[in-house]
Amino acid sequence: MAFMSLNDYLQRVQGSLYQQNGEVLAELISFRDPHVMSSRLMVEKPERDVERVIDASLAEVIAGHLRAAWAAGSGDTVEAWRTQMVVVQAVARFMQECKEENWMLPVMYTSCLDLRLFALAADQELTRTGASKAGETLEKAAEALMSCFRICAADTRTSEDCTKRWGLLYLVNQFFKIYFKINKLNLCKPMVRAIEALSFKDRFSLSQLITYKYYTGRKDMFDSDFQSADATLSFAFQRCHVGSRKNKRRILIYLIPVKMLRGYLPKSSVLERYNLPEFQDVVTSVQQGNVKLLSETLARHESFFIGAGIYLILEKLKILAFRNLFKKVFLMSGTHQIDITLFLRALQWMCVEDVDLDETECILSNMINDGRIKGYISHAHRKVVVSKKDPFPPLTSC
Amino acid sequence: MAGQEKSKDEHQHLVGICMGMCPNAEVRLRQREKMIHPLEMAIDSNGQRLNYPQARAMVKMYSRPAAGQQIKATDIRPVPVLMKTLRYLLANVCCRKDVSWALVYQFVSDRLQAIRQDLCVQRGRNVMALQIYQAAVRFYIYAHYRTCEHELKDFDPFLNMKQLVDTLSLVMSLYQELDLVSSIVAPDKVDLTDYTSFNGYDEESEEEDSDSDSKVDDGAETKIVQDSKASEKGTSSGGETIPGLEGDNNTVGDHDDNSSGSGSVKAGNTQEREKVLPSERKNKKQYHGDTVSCSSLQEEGVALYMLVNLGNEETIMNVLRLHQNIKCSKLVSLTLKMNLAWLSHNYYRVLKLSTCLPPLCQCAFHIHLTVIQRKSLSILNQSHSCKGQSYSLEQLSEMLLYNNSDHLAEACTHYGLPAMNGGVVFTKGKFNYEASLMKPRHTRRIEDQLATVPLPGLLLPTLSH
Repeated sequence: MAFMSLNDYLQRVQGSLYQQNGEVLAELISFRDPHVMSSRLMVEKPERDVERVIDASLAEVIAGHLRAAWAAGSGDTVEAWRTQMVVVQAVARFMQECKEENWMLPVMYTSCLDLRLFALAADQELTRTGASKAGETLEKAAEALMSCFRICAADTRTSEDCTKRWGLLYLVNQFFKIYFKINKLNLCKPMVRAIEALSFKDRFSLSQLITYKYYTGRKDMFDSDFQSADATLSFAFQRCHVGSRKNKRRILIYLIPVKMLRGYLPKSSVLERYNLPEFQDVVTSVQQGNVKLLSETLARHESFFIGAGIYLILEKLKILAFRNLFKKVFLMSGTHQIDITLFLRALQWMCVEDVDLDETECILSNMINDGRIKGYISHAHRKVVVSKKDPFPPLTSC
Repeated sequence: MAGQEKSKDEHQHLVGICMGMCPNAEVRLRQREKMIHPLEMAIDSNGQRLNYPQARAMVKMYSRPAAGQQIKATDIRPVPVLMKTLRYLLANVCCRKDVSWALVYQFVSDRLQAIRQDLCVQRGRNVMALQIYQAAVRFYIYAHYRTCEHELKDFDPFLNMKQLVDTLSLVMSLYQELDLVSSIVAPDKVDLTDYTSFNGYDEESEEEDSDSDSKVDDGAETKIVQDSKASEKGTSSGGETIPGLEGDNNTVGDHDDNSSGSGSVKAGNTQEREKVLPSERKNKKQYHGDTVSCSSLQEEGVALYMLVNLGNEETIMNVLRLHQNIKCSKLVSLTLKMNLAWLSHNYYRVLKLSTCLPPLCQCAFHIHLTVIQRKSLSILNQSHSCKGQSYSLEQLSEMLLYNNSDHLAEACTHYGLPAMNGGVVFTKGKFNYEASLMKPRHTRRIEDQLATVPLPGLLLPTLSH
């Protein structure tokens, strides 16, 4: 296979086209298939040979693929990316010509995936040399993907079993990967809308669905919609195959903070199993109300948390740590009318930066306002009067 | 198609050749159509405005880009001329006392938009463009504060905010871009040559610039021509590098040829970094004509970005991802702390920290003051609801940065909380969330602080002395 001649290769392509075998054709234009290693298939200008054998509708795709193989083979990632852009656009035109058929969706998947991977490499290359801004190349790749997206989305008249709309979720996942990479989450919105409007949105393949849920869950998290984020990420985590531990770990990085914010702490065995030691101290500190430890942990793993985009949500956990600390103060005081100075001393003990009585009162005010403490503050007496019944309602009910 | 991509990367952009603040064609058109702004009119010996333009004072108006309209190079001002125009607008026009501030605002904000448009057409993405954008940001922020008590017909806070936010995000993206470029191709940064040559030329006329309230710069026209010629030479020769951008990435190490220059900048750098807090800010005046290092400019830019977008999580994340040098500088870390505090609605800390900001940053923070005050009152109302007790207006007005207890009492009444006998009574559920936001007010603190800085120094700290 790896050393087939150009003619053999073209014959195979033409054969799969006649049989309308999308899987085989997809393999034949995939960069994860051994044929791309064959030097006989790396052709700079293959147009004439290709046009001799291949139907005109697909010729552009195949010629582009061979040229991309040549560019990638000679180590020119930027040229490979440019050529792959042409391939994807040619695939889009090819799909448009095949009305009421969707056998070619695997071809689109493969070409789009390769485009994203080439764009990723080219982006690094171009940024390194200063030819373009970081992310610009990926953005251009997204534009090319958009041509496929439009064709799939517009295929509404065809019956459900052969509509190209089945290809939407795969494309949307590719878009998510790009948009999260270049940090343009606002662009995800129309994608989500397109998927949610599909009547068969729950019947996509599980792997595609999990990817989709992972990204929408993250997006919900950034939009502070924690309830929805919890549901979506939980789905992804529970359904994700036991074998793909790396993916499960990735999901947990977002699921853990969301769960914690809603009052559920992860077991340390889970953290160990998925190699997430960064969270260990976060969990302990929130549990104990150890604000000091939490601040230190955030500072220590700052780059990890910022890189994952969860720094701010962990910062919000401080409120929970304060709540647990204050609950301890209340239990120790043994009264329902507690001097604010007691809380202040606890905060000072936790090394909260230049905190004073007024700020303590402000923190308490917020907790009462958010329903984390039941009671009221008497400013004149500098006391908190907490409710006799359930002064610190469980976090899971807030 | 691949070929097209390539040619796009090359710098084949339009370069303007209009050497005055206003293209000649526009001068003629507006004279004919009697579209002369009062600030552009000639003044007769009695101080009366004549409906006749003073050619030197004309500044290109903003006009919406229309489809099919050909952009002529003769209508576009090159970057150095834009810089000059900016200086004229911010250092001279803004100080005019003979017309109302509302009129000045309307004039300057329109002309700034034209400047931004000219920059955009020429794809101005260098240090000088950055400085122009950032100066525009300063103006929008200052104007937002100064004009906040005006009627809607004079000042639309929404539109001003839009200009501000747009320009500010442009500034941030330019920093990112230039930072990147400077760490890769250091010899590309000729831009500051223009800038320094400018300073040299302007030195002679500086006096009349700073105190001219009524006599608007004589001979501005001729000066512009001189300046732009000089700077054109600067760009065309192109070879010299001026260490302007290095700031935090002087690890690159190809500054060997001008090590003396970069040394002095670094010295300036540390000096610059120290004077962030208002108490130290006074040193600024001793800091004559030196090239201000980009990193301190970036600090200001980032701080303003954080304050203008206070509480926006995306903004905070963007800043958290910035380089450690910037993040840990005094001013930026202060604004970061304020943002984090506001995430948990810790109004006390936010307001307390805000008092440590330098004047312009205070103006930027002031944009959010009424929102913060309202939120604080609503939280306090929920948590301090206790029969028969009241919260002292005086204490509270100090904490929430109201000018005095009367202003606070007015706000309380506005939001449905009874204020009497020097105290406010908080009752759960009484807060009127439907009530519109209070109109912002000037605060004593900012007024006092602004009084200590001359306006050109506030708007153009890098250019004026």
